[in-house]
Amino acid sequence: MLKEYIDAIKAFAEQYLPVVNVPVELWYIVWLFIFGSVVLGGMMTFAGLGAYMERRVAGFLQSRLGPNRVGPEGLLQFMADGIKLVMKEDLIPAAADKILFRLAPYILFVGTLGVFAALPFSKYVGITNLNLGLLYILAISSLVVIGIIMAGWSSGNKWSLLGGMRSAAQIISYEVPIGICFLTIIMMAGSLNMNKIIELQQGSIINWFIFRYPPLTMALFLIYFIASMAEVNRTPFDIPEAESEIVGGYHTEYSGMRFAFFYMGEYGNMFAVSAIASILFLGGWQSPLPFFILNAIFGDYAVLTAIEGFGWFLAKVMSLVFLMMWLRWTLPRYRVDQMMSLCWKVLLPFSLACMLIIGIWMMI
Amino acid sequence: MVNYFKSIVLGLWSVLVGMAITIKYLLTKKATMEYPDERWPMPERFRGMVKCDSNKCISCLYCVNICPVSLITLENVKADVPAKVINLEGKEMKRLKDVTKFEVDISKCIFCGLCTEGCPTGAIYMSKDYELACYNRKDMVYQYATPSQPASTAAPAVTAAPATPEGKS
Repeated sequence: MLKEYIDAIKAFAEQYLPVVNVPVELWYIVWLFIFGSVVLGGMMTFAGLGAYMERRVAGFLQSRLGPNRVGPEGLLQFMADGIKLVMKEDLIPAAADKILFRLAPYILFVGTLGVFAALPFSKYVGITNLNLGLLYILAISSLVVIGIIMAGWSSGNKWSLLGGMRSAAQIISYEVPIGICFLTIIMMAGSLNMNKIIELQQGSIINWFIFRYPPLTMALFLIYFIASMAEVNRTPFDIPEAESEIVGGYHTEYSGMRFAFFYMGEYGNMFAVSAIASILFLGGWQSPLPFFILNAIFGDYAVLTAIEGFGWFLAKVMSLVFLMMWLRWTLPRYRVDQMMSLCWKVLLPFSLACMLIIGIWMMI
Repeated sequence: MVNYFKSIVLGLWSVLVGMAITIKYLLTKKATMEYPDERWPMPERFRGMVKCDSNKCISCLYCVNICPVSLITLENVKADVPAKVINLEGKEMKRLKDVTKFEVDISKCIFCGLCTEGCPTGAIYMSKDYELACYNRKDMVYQYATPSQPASTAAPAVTAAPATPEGKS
């Protein structure tokens, strides 16, 4: 996929721009720049719209309206929020470790952004097609923990430190069930490549991995969903930023654009984990309709199938994101010990048992 | 061991119950009233802003005297030709005085409604207007008189005089 993109850009440039015989490495940089900005723009847009959606859903679930006055139905609210955050005073506490304090939000953001680079959005739409996609995602999303600990430590504030520590404990413990869920899917697919995992779920809704070994894969999906909610600090598990206990957790001391980066990182993470859930269990960009119906509608048009796949992918991801918001405004927060016991005493044994039984099922 | 599984099933079930409750609110009509665009209809006897129809006023000074906080200032002149006003009982009354100034300082008002109760012609009344906030204390003093005597109209004519030579062209 990568080489095709470079070749395409090179051919385009050689045809239309007055430059010839430029080394391939330069085109690689151009390619990086273009797709980097596409990913960044897309993610920031999603983060803004996600924040808008969150507030709207929160309002509706609490029998009120939410923001609806900026633009049509309040859709431009995120731009107003963004402008407000940019114009805010940029405060750095006197007790803070200045360098780490400045660095932390960007490291967190990079961890989120890195995940987006490996996601297959549709059949032909994606930045890279890594053979080690899942491993890469597990690895790069760990940067988020480093960012959070850095933010908590460098703020020079006990609430921040507590929040950072809680977050680190939470994310590291919940990565274990997530890893086991990944492992089971890898076992079923025989590949770490996400495009290949999606292609194995081709056909219709019956071929999705969530229905492959019922009810074990459904239980795995549930485990992954719960653990991913904990991983992105969503409300039943939002103890790292529990505002009634520790003010704002690791982002207590942040303001202005740095705070916005935390915010965007949170919503970007939400999108990322939902996307991974839909890729691993819900067939990614595969349509839930049977194959022959789609052939009758779209025929052989590659562009149409790509757009259609992108639509399905977005629909799946957004419904998972909505589910997260719905849960957030339904459930109260866990206590720290309850959260830990849920991870180690419930999710971990269940995921291990699921993996074991699925493994035996595959052997026979 | 039984308790362990039981608690898991119960936990999942209670989550589903909670989600059913919240989704019901998502689908039903919202309780919010979008205030500046839509308002509640006020009850019939709501006491809001004090207003006065100075054409009906016969300058009996009832409201001025009964007001517990003395917020009404009333000035009048003797009318050349007494106008006729119909009072609340339907009888005709002669209006011997014309009101030149009817001032209500609403910032003092306690909204008791005493001024309206004894008004013989129903000139002063409590409206349903409740948006009385303003930026300046002077803006809270409302003038209701439209004087038929040109006592106050003479003043603008004097100030307007220097401007007229330039404004002729």
